Amino acid sequence: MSDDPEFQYDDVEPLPISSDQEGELCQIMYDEEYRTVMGIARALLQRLEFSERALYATSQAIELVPAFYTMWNYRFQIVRTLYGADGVKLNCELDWLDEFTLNNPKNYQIWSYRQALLQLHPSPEFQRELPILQSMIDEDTKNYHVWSYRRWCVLFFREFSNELQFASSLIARDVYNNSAWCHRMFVLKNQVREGPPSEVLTGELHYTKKQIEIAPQNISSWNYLRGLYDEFLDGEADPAIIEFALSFAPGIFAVDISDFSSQIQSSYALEFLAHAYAKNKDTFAQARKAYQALSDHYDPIRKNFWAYKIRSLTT
Amino acid sequence: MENLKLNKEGHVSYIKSLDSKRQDYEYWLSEHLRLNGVYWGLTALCLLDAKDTFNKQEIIEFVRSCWDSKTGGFSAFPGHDAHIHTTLSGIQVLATYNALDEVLAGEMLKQCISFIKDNQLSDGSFQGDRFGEVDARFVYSALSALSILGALTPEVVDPAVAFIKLCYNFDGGFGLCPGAESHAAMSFTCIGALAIVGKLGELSADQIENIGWWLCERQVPEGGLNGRPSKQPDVCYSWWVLSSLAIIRKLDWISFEKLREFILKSQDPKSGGISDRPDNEVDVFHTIFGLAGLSLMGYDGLVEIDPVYCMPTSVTKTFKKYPY
Repeated sequence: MSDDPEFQYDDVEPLPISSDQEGELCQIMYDEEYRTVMGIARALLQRLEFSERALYATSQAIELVPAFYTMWNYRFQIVRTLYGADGVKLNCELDWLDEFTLNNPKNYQIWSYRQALLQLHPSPEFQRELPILQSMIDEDTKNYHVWSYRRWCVLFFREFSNELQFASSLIARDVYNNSAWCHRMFVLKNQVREGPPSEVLTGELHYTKKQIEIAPQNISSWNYLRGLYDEFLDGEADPAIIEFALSFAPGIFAVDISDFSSQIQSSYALEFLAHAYAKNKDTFAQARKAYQALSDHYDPIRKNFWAYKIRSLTT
Repeated sequence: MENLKLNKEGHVSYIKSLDSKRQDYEYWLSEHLRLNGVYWGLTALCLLDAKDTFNKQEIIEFVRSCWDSKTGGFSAFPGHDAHIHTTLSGIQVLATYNALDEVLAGEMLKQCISFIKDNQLSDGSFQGDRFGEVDARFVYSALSALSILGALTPEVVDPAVAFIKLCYNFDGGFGLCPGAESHAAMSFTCIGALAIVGKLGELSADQIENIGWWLCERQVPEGGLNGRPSKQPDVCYSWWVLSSLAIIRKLDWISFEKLREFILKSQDPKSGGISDRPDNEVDVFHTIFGLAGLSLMGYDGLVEIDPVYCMPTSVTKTFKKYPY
């Protein structure tokens, strides 16, 4: 604590760590720092001191133990008490948080703390959040908390206009990024209450087919395609999409059932077809064949599941 | 593969050793998870039929010392704030020792029930504590804790069920909150919570099948399970995925042999413990969830675990079933 001369804690009796045991005489170096920093921060917390030095003490404690949620809660109380709805001060706090976030990408208290700050802020801006969101996504393109925070911002600011494009930029970097595909679905389901307009849907179908052509064996793009049909198109696959899926498993329905040695480009295409064929009695035979091929050849680890699907065709 | 064997003695001694590391920096760094860690360790010992490895009285005293009388819940460690998740862990440990009545009675019990209920929000979800995050994990924690205490009511259950249903996604998985990407751990919290309150019937047959499909899709060709599409397999999903499948009675959609192989390869053959995947550092979290997965598959003579509560069935069979 002595590295910042601005704050004095001489009047604070550090709280001891409560489970101090005998036989711990051989301390490693960190322990002393830990004891002092935590001792002072907890003593201030106990007396609920809301001051600049208390704020500083919480940053010291949080830097040592980023997941110490009690300290985050205390820090928020301090900020609310000291700064209230002072936008300039809250921006300084957001600056501190940006820096901390960059150094602690795996921590997740940062995101709920950030939400609390924005809700307190008199004039929050999505624009201000974009750089940190971008840096964090660059660091880990599937970080669950970063995507969650982005969605929260989109809903908080009701600002959807850049989101499909943002998801596309991530998919362009990694077509297998399931988080980015799910972000698209989130936009489609939330931007317009009545569901996406038909030109948006057409655009999405076109986009998805293009991405599948780039990487046919990709569960995320096929799930999204099936999602588009199930959510917005009554689940009815049209002849054009059937033909599209067939192009990744050419000839599969022509060969004899015992001869599935042919290489197909995508087992997910076969699943998509089976799913569509299983909806109509007239195409049960094709569905059965597709499931059998998955079970025997293309996805044998799930053979019990495929057997179940075949059984349910007869009922 | 035939020579892969569950290192039972190793795991027992690994868990036993955890509390003797107080001089390590990591021990202090994990203070905010300590009570959860006790629950994970104790449950793992129960599965290994070595419950007596921990000193019962000491553990009960520790749980007692985590009581936060200000808010009325258990914290991870004395001096921390009470939290829904650690409150569940405290209750689970006490229930496992059949010590709930002894520790959590009278005013204290009333306070604890209000603490949990007061963290429910108007949309049916729960926050972890007064300031914290809101998501499906805490809905599970809250409903499980209230269920063990026999204190569920329709006022709590019905909105919680409505919230969980909103977390269901187009792909057959569940997200952390409505609109969030499907994640296997959330399948467990959502399906487990529905099972606890007897509301699995709220899901349609098609939904159950899609859920089962999404879950069994988590198995990668090498045998392990991942938490999301195109992610690496991790031993902890042996629990999140298998428990969910067990609850909806589709456990056989996973290839048991291959998963067992993946879990056993993630053991530390010398000092015990299980890691997230082969050749990584072991920890108590992956140790319990690896063992729990093996137990669900009925392997290696492990004690039977309840897929809904993640506790031995010998303990959970005494819980009152909602609706009461």
